Amino acid sequence: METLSGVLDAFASFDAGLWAVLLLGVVAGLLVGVLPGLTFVMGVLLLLPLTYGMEAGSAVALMLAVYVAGTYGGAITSILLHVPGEPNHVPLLWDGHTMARQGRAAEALGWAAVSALAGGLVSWVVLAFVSEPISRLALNLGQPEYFLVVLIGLTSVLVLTDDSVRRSLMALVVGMLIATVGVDDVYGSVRFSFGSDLLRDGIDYLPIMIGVYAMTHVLVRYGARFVAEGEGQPTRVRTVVPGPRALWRHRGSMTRGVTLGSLIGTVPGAGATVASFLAYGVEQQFSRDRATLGRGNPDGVIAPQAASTATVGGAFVPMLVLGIPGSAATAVILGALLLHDVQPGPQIFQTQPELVHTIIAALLVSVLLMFVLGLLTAGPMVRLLRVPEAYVAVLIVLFAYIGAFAIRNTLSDVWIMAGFAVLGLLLQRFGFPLAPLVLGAILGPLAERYFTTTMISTGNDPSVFLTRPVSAALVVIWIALVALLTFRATRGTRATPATPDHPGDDPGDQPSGTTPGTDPHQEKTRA
Amino acid sequence: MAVTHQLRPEETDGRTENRREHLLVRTAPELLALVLVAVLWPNTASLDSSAGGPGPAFFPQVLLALLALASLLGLVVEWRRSRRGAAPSAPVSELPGPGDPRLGSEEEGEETDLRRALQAAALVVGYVAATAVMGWVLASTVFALVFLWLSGHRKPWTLLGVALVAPQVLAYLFVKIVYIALPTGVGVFDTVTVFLYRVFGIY
Repeated sequence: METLSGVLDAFASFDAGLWAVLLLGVVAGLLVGVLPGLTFVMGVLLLLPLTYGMEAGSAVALMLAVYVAGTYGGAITSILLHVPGEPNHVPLLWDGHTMARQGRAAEALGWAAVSALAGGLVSWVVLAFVSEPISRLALNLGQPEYFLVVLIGLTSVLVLTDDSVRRSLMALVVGMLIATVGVDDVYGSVRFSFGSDLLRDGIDYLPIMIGVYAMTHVLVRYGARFVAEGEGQPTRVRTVVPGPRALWRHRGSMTRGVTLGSLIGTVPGAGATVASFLAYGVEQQFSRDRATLGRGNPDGVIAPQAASTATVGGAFVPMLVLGIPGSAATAVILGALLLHDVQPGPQIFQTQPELVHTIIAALLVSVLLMFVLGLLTAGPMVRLLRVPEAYVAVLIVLFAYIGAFAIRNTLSDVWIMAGFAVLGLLLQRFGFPLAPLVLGAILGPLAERYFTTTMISTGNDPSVFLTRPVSAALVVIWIALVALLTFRATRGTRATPATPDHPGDDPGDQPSGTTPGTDPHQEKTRA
Repeated sequence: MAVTHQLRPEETDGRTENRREHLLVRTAPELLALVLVAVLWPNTASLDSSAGGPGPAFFPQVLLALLALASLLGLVVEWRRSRRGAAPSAPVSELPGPGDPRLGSEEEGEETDLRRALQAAALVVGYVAATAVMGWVLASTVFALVFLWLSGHRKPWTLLGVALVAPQVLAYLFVKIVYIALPTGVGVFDTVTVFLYRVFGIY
């Protein structure tokens, strides 16, 4: 109740500036969602420098609005043009675009909008009513528990990856190693500087993210000559919101989608893309009309879209309450909070209640604005695809430079960004995933800090992880994840059955089936 | 041109040679990782602390050990595969551009050319270096022109429009409004940048 009254007070204190920021953020989020050259993580990253002149609440509100709207915007082009604007909208190709080909584009767009709204509202409920109780629980957690939570997050990255476990592990470890460069948090020792001032200052994860997420993509697309073969633009774009009966008929897929998304969002390293593919996979098992999935079944739009947007609130919970980001986008937002001298953690509800309530209120407003603007602007957004991708790429490079430079007002971070852009290119070239690299750089320092302080306080006694009840429970969870990981690595099974094929290199690895009897790469020839 | 094209086995007696080369390229990341471990591990030996706990070397050493293990495993797997003469299950392929959801799009179209992508990387590196000398606005203008030209956009007015307008607009936004002190360059470039800032009301 205290949170709810705080949120209502926050609403009352919204000024014109904050409303403008939220509107700008939602429009930007829809734009980055629609444009295939941009992802919402890139959108949040590239708008980061804009937030340096804002106060913390407005800064987070802007990035949150981009994040929320970005999880939905790509549905429009996915359905209409067979071009997923975001990775989490790939599943929408299978049924959403099929519906469009069947002359049911308006219905598909309506389902995407309503599912995004439902997912967003549930994610708001999670953030509003779960985060404070968890923060009270978290006050009882110590360094051992924090270490194990981060360790579980790191292991989850490997479990949930669609790529080779071994290569994902290598990328993760390299990311964690990169984060050890510079001055050690606990001992103050300088590590791996090789006499260089640049390395002595350490490598912040924000330039790494900008380089790997934004710049590598520009290099790859330049290498592909920005060639894209989407379908011709529709002459008329209409959205039809489903009525109550249709909503009731599809309540199952909606419920499964929002539940899965809310849970997945809280897992560090798992975000909208994982949730979307998992939700589609779940529908293949549990949808009442699963035989028609892939042939224009609305459940194939509802569940992935609801899951995608539902991850937002869940991702904020560990970020705000534990200081552990639940997704790449919340990792950027965490960076922004730290730049504004805000330290997330279980005490944040006591030390910064107005900020927390503003964030919760901003999430609700963003979700509602996303729904309304998404319905109204679908047509104009699609027309924006006429802008040549090369122009968008130039803007990405310019924004990326500014974003990296502005972190510490130094060219060093820009060089780091450029270096990781090239590294990202080469890693992709050799089949190494990039997400574990970034998450290793983000979560690695946290893991080291919590582990080291635990060992110092216990005199190097590791039994503390087993003698504390919560720690012991977390150890059991971690062991279960490791067992699952080992099983995957030796059998080559995929955690996300609906994920498109991408052969790994481990013994026994076989390309996973996607939707039974179909392959998303054959989507273009279906229907 | 992709490395795989360059390494496509030829119809000569050098097939074994090509397979070995191919194996070398395929395992390049694992080999480089082992070199990294070999370089970094001795550095950790000098890290010490009297503050108790595992010390500043512990965590990096654990990571290096994991990396070495994973790399060795990869080398063994690839070596065994090449001995059996099996086709590599994870070919050193073209970049996963179109058709790969990791890049957020499933467009058909030309696959990514690594050489061309590296050209873009060189452009970006050149751009970053140029900003230290020319300043951000001027270097960005030149970068935009070159990048768009090489991307095949040749309409002069559009090129000039984008290359001249975008950096100025962003400079106004970030220098004047957000107060980010973007580099202004040295010497004459600094003079020109400051002049442009004054003309556009940034200074």
